[in-house]
Amino acid sequence: MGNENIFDRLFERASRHVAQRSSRRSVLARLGTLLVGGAILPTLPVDRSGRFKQAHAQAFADEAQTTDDTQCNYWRYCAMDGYLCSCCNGGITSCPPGSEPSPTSWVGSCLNPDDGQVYLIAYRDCCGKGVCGQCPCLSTEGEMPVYRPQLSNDIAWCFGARSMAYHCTGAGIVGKA
Amino acid sequence: MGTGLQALALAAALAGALLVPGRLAAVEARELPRIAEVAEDFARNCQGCHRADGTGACRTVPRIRDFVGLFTRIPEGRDYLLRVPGVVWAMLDDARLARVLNWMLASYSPEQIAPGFTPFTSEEVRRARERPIANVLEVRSALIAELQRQGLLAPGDDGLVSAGCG
Repeated sequence: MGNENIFDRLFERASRHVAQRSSRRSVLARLGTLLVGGAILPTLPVDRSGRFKQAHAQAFADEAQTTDDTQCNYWRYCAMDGYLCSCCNGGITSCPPGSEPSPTSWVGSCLNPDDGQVYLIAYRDCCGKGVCGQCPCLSTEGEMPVYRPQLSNDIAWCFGARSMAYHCTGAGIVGKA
Repeated sequence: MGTGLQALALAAALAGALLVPGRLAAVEARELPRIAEVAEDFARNCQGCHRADGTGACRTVPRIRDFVGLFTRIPEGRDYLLRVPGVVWAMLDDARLARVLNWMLASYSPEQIAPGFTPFTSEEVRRARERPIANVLEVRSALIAELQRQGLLAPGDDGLVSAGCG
């Protein structure tokens, strides 16, 4: 009984506080923002599982930068799914010590926002060492479901390497498309 | 003096151009090969596994360099090239698939192509795609055995042994 009174009093005080300090208009405006925002949010190109499934080449390139290859929005990572070798004591085209480049890779393409050119990119996994775990990135430009394994980045591309243990992924330029 | 300053300014401008990362990327880009049309189809659909130099991956991906043309030497081999899963399910239409197959043979294995080989046509590709190989390992090992029996392929070489085998 006493506890209920405490809650009642707290709520009453809070309500009076809100009523005294805010106008009806501002409450309506905020509520409106919430409602409209809530309605628009699901239409944004964001996958429910947190992936950028709907991202287009231009959309990724619009947000991409060309200076820092330890960030997920580096332009060559438009179809990157994995940990960046650049964050794992390796480089964008070199494997960290203790891992080896897979002989196989999957080839996608990214738009370079600096020159507006499309480049073919080989996403090459470094294998033979436990998962690096640094700088996880997930973008899916041109990616296909796993039943199209040649163009899927959901799988470890260590085919042909001495070990299937996945460590990190690099992104080398194959050429201009 | 004037030329010295000009040279210095030029050097500074060049250094500036190289130091700006975007510019550096542009410099790098000019030296890159342009991969277009049939070569782009190959790059996007085939070379991830078979590799740009056609050497494949040890015991996992057959090499195509100096090898794939051998299949044109036996009748079932021509059929195999058109019905192997990677070909059948490539994301290319029949005409582009025929073009990339012909290009691959000519580019990577011209020495092995059968004399009088007629290039693949899109109609031939279309028909073959309707009948994908069910058991690729079985069919392939029979073909390898036949190539070895005819002396076209060294005993013990099944095309899966590459330089990467170490």
